[in-house]
Order: sequence, then C-alpha cells, then structure tokens
Amino acid sequence: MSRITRPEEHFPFHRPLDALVTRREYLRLLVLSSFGLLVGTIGVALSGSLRRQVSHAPQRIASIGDVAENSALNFRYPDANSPAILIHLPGGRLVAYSQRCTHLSCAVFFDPHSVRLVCPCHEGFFSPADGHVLAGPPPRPLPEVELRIVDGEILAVGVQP
Amino acid sequence: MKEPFPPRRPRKRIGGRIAAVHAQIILATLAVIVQLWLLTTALDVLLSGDPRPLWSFAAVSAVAFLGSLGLLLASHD
Repeated sequence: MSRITRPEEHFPFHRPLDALVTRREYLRLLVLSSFGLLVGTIGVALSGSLRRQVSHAPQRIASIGDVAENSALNFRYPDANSPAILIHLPGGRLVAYSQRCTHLSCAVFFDPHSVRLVCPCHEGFFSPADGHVLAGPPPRPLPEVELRIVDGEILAVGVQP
Repeated sequence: MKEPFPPRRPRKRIGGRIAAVHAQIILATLAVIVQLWLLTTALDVLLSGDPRPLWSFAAVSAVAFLGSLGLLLASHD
C-alpha cells in the first residue's frame, strides 16, 4: 500500500527563505529600476526630438478698430477646437494666447480691472504682457499666438508653445 | 626565518561588509529617486513644448544609472 506523501517531500523548498530578498538582490532590483527610468527618459527625449514643427496657415482675426484698448476678443486658432484670446493691452500693444489654461484646460478670460488673464476654475492668473503665470496652480505659461498686422487687419500666423 | 606561504589577506569583518552593502543600497536608491524626478520633469518640459533640455535630462539619468551599475558591480568584489 502506497504511503500518502506531502508535496513538500517531492518539491522541497523553504518558504521563508524563498520569500527572502537579500540585500544584493534588492540592489539588483534598484539597478533594474534605474535602467527602466533611463529608458523612459531617453524615450521622452526622443519623442521631443522627433516632434514635428507644425506650421499653421495665417488667419484673419479682426480689424484693429474692432478691439478697444484694455479689452479682449475671443477667436479660434489654429483650428475650430482651439480657443484663443486676443487682447488689446493698455498702451496699444496687441497680444494673443491660447485660451486653454495650462493647468486643466479651463478657458481663461481677460479681466480689464486687474489687467490679468484669469482662470476661474482654480484661480490661476497669467500676465497678459507675456503669458507667464502670476499665481495659482498652472505649471506653464499660456502658449502665445503670433500676430501680424497687415493693412489694418490682425492676422494670427502661428503658435509658440 | 622565511615564511613558507605569503601572509593571508585579512578578510573584511562581516559587519563592515554589511555596512558597505547598506551604503550601496542607499546610494542606488538616491540615484533612482533622482531619475524618477528627472523623468517627471522631462515629461513636464515635453508637454510645455520646449524639447531643448530633454537630452541633458537623459544624460544625467544615464550618469545616475552608470553610478548604480558601478555600485552593483562593486558589490560582487
């Protein structure tokens, strides 16, 4: 009559020892993680290098007289899904930015009283002079829409990220 | 009188070896933390649309990796 045997007799292993990770194995895991992070960073760098510089067709926004000083006009550029804002700054300078907040893509608006671009969702504030972040959670400046004035017409000619 | 065998090299004490491995693990962990920060910052820079500093991030990450690899190789001596 055959004896009933336990599986451990055929496949002997020491469970606590099997679960043990030695210091050298841990160091090996760290080096493997380090390699993975290096590959990821190289992938990001490659992705940045291979990204094509997209040029956009010029588009008429408005005539110079259409936007009063210290006021703004919304438009869409470079496509219908890209809201942008044209601002006539006090002093006469014209600037335009993407209207998407760099925090969570809420639409920013121009506040003529404080002369700032305001994101109402999380109280982000941008400078209308150059689009940089004045306060709040946005991590980056607003992308700038390049403008050109031809015969009194304001044209959008490109986007600077 | 001349010794028949050259003197044996004194072995490191076990406590010293463990301390050395601990130091290697701490340094490799620091390298991984720096690389994680570099990767997240590189992603942030990529999304901001300015790819110029990305290769310098990759170079620093490569130095950190080579450092931790050197620590691993040194641990086998």
